[in-house]
Amino acid sequence: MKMEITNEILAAYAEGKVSVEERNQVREYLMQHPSKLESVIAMMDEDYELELCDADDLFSVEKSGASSKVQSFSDIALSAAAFAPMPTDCECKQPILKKACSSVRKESFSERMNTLLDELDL
Amino acid sequence: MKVAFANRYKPLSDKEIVDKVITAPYNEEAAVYLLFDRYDPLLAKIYRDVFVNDSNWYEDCLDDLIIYLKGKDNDWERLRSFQWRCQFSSWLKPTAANRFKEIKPYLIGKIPFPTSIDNEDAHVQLPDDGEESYEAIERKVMLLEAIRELEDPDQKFVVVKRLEGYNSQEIAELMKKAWKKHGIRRIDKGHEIVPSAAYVDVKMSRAKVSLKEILCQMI
Repeated sequence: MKMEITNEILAAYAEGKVSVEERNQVREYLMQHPSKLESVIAMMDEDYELELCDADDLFSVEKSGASSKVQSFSDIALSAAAFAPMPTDCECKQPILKKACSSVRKESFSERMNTLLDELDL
Repeated sequence: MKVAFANRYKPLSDKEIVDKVITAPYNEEAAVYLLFDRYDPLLAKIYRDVFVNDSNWYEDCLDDLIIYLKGKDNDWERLRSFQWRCQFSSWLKPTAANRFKEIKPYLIGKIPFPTSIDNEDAHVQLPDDGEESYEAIERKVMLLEAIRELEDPDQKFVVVKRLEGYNSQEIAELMKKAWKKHGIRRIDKGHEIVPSAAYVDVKMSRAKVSLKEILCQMI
């Protein structure tokens, strides 16, 4: 019986925690959705969040008076509940993400996989 | 991003925190800690991968992720659906990435917001365009499984990061951070190893040998 391939099943597959039947179904799914291969590699990466720059360089907060790096629960909850876009004249400052500092990726993921397969010379 | 109440949840495992969130009366503070503090570095990385240089929408994405995980009945339906068959972070990565990609056109103004952004019909997954042959894709799937079977953690790290697009010098820098994160020290002939591009290249060469052996056994 064909099962739904959820993110959890893919993640369990990435960790090698699926049954033989599930593995076969995930294989079939990936054959039909090869764009998901990149996602599976990310799931295998236990250190995916590591960046070349330091965290402080990547994530800075404009301060207005008191430190705004620490947020209270009620601020965050209100924002989540409203899910309203920020008014342009809002005085409270948003955390700012800077772009990651790494070299430009010229090849696509698919090309990188093909390169590795070629290098394996099977 | 740090939250004022983090110390309350810091000692708890992911499962303990999620259980607090999904058990009535639903501890929303715990959910905020989980996403805004513990997994902030991961979600920030995913955000940068999706939005690249546009830094304006990170908090909106996190806010939306909380609403998304709550589901339309505000009972944390989607978080509840997680059955702990894998690490929480492994599930969170594609869940967040897919959601950020989904809301990106709305946030950057390309498409007006619908009445409900929670589109239950959104995930009809059609097969990809058949640009590659069946055999080519099959080889990639087998390679993926072979990478998973690599026993040397440094070999696996190097291969995964190479496929993510980093060069040897970048992988060495990331490896230093990974070792620091996990408290790893490697000693060779009495000297502490410091990851370098050369070390990465050696590991990559050995990884290829290991991968070939694994793939030959799989065929």
